[in-house]
Amino acid sequence: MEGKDPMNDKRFKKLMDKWASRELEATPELSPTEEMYKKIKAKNKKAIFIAFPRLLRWAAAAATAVVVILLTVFYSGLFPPGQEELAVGLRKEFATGKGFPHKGPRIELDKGQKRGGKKGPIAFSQLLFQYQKQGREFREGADIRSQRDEKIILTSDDNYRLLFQLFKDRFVSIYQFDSDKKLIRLFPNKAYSSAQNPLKGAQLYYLPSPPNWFHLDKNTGEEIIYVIASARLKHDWDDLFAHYARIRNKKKKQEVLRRLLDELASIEEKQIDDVFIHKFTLHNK
Amino acid sequence: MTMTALTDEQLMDRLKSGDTASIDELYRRYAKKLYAFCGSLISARNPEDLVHDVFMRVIEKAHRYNQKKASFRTWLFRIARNRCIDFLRHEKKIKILSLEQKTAHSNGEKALSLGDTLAGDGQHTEKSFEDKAAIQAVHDCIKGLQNEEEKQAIVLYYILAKVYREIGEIFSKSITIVKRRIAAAEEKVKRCLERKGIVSFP
Repeated sequence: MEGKDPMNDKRFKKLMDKWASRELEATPELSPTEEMYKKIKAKNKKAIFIAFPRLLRWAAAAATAVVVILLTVFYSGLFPPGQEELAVGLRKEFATGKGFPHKGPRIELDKGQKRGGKKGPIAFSQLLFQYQKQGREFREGADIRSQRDEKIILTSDDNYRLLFQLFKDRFVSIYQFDSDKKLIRLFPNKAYSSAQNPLKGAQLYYLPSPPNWFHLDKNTGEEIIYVIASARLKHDWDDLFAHYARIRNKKKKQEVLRRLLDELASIEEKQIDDVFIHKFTLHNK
Repeated sequence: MTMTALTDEQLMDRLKSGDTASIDELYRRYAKKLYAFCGSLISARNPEDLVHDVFMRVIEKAHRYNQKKASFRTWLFRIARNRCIDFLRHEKKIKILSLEQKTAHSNGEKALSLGDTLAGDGQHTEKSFEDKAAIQAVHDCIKGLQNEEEKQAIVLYYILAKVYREIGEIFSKSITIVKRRIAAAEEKVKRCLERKGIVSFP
């Protein structure tokens, strides 16, 4: 007979089945090892251990998110942009609600000064640095425009603030390079003032907004304040500062800071027509 | 509910939640099949160790098992197959290192095994004797298959279930390929049995 014989095929399959059942019969009885039981128990314990803190973590994260959202909505001043960068603190006036006793040298605001009254670019009709020493109930001050090379010596926990008035509407930026080698933008900064650029000409501005003052921290050394007014909204240093505020890497931060300080120094040198800069150094002793 | 009434997938759920009794039941259901499967593929080592290895992996990877993707049986035999392949690779390396010694040893072992089987059957009827010899010959022919995939396919087909789809899932191959592999393996086993003079398959 040619081709496959169905009987033989059937016989083959039968033989294979017999082989399979014999293989299974010949297999010894196997049972799980002690190690397996231990592993199952250990894995289960681990699963409970992992699942429980995970739930807790989620709950904590959710609660934190809710608190942050509520605080952001109701107390927007708590989370101003770049708050983590700030090294200067705010403090209310030393004096009580009765107001300040005006003893000591008092600085009179110029009223009739006009643009072009002095040589060089002038944007501010007034630019004053006011300070209040710890334990003394009167304030003193200095005109930043005329005190470029002099240093005002303050001690930790002394208070200070800025007063300024512009001739025309201008975009103002105020930076402080503190003794801790950090650059802080004092204005615009919602933490210190609710005023927004462009600032109006002929209007007196306080920084920080009254009744607050800046107070010097414990870090002693030189602190430089840069006050810039410009007819334009955006400048390179603004972008650089935004970049500086975002960076977390210390090395890169220092690099950007160096570029930023160079940029600020170059404004002074170049004397660009629509940009006015005043630099002021104070010493925290 | 007793363990025997539960499906494999339900047992896996229990295993995940730390129920040690579920591994007993899974062992009862599959240990023998795994032993037979691994035993047909490897030669040197006791398949018992491999079976334990496979179940250890089942325990370790239980949290990864997804019953929507594959049945437990498919998943289990896929693990077993991979474990056997790993072992065979390792075995091959050892063989290359001591080829001569290994060949001499395995021939001796084989002859002894067959001789033992035949001697033990002396008191049985002639038919039974022939059957045993034929079964031993099938065993040897399957072990002698050169193509590993064909070998695995034919063993799975007869030991696990005659379901091409399931074997296809274990191999990650189409049903057509699986059918082809099994048919080829069967043909080779037939020829091998013919050569051994057990039975003629024209």
